[in-house]
Amino acid sequence: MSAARSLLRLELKRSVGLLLFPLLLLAAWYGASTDLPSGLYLWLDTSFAIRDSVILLGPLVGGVSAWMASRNRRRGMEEMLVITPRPSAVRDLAAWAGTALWGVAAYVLFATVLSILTWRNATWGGPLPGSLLVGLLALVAYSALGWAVGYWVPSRFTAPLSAIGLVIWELALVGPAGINLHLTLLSVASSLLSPENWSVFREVPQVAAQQSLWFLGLGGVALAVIVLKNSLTSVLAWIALLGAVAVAAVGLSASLAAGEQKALNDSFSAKAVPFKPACEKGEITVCVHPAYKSLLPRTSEKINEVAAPLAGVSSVPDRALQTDDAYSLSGKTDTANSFTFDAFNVTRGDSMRVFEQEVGWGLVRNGAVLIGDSSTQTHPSAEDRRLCGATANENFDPALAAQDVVGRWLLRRAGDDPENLTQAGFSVSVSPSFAECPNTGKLTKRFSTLDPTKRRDWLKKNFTDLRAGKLTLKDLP
Amino acid sequence: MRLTGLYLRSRRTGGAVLTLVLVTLLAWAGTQYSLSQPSNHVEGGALIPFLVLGALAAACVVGAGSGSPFGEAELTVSRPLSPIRLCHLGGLIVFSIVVLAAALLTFDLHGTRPAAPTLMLLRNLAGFGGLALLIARFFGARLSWVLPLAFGIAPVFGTLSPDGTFPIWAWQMQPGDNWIAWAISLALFAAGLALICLFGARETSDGVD
Repeated sequence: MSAARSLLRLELKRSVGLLLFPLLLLAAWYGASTDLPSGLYLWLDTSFAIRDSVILLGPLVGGVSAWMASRNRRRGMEEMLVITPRPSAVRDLAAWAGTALWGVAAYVLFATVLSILTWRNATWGGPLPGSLLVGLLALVAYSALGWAVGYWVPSRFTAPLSAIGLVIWELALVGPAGINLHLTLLSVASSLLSPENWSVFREVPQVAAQQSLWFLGLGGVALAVIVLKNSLTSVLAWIALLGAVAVAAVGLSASLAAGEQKALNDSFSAKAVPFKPACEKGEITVCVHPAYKSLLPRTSEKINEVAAPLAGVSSVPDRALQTDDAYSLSGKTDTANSFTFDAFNVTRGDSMRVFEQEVGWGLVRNGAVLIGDSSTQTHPSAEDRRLCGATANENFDPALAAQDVVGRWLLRRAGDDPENLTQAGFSVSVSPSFAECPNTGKLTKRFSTLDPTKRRDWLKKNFTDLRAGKLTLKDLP
Repeated sequence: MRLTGLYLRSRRTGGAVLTLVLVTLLAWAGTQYSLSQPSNHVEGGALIPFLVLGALAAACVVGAGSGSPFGEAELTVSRPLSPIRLCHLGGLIVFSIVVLAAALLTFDLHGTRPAAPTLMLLRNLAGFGGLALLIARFFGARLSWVLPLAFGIAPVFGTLSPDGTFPIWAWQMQPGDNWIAWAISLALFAAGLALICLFGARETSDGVD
């Protein structure tokens, strides 16, 4: 055993993985860069980021392994090694492990740094161990696959082509040229289990066991193939190969079956995670998911800033609650006194401005009423049509248009530029039946330039109806 | 002529040519299959693996073939080696261009003009080829594929800018008519080919492959 350990130590020192370690670390970081936390640390994002680091790291380690596998042949040492007393399987596996461990070290180091950062900053939850395990097993499997190819086909071209082959494997399953969505769990970074599709509000489907079996079997097959090159008559090696094939087959079928899960293909059907919201009192009490607690002061400040002109107006919501269904037409949980918002995209590319727009919209309309329901939609009168201007949608909802005007006024007051609203934050994504009126800008300007006392009186008198969708453009002052 | 022939044989150029043909065939088959899927189309980036990874694979083959099996002894020859190196590596790159471009032209591009993807392919092949030769010059031919590979595949999985484009450093992902990407790739190509032709790949202690 100590001889095997010594051999492993020697192989670790002689491996090109040592020289390329900084590059491996860089690859791990870049592979995960799309999922890395920016301003907010969530264990969910961190777990996915660590796993996704294998997207680039895996093929590189596979290529390096393929290159190292042909080292003995390059140096004309193959025949000399045959006479050594240790079994060839131990020698082969130690040599492979000497390279694979550098990849594993890069993965573990990256995972450790990111986990420490998240542990220090996250306010809720914990890591997804299954996700981390899948990444580790995939990395080991890619390394073993690369080594097996390099060992059986020792050529100066094998290493780069093995690495590119692994990239194509990943691309075929998750990338822009993805072939079949149901195969996606066979890839380490399944597109169905990406940070874009999951939030802290829903339970991530437990498919790590299936994926782990798949990668375990794949790696086992590759290792058995490596051992068989010099020990073709070894019964143990053949048994190991059969066992690994069986594990890979079980993992394959389980992964394919799991790919069909409804919760995987539609995150909203996944089970909700219970939580106690973190709240900050104010004119409007703002409550967020505890994972977003660090964003609460800023969120509360923004919401109250947008809502400031409505202070003292009756039926203005006094509670804002972060949910993951703020854009969902069916699951809206707004009430007369509260509105929901979705702040989690603020940390994933959406700007605070998009968030403000959502808040402006949430304040002036009760999301539980009307949305997407054509039976209760207000039909535009001739006067509404005239005020709206020539719109592409003749059946536009004049109640939504009126709310749009007041919402934009609120945003303008908060320092936003409502004339350049993005679709993500306003109107279109919230209500597909709504067509923006060409004259909304003019109507907003008219509302903005009203005498403050007159405007406030109008809001005090009409805000309840406006929010309930009972007023239209013609009712605006 | 005999010297050139011997030089090419010593570099096992026949194996490199065969590998390039094999790579092209595999890339062609994979892309053809990908394009036959209803969810994939040329505008949606289905050609990207061919245009980036195909060119990258060819460049890695060229770079890995640039090493000398004779070590420093080769430097004592009475004839200048630069023209022969140019003939060898330039020829491999031209051959890669011909086979990959020929494969590209067989795809059904659904009315898209083939000029844009062809330009992208040419540019990527030149850029990756130059990068591989540069690395071969400074770090040796055997590991010349590592950096081009890491750099070449990174943007394939990377993030787009907010406006849906790739940052300019990811020149391999830019459209075929982006002149900055062309300038970068041509600079890499010229530098790589010039250095390797003048000085050859760096000798490493690995011996013969």
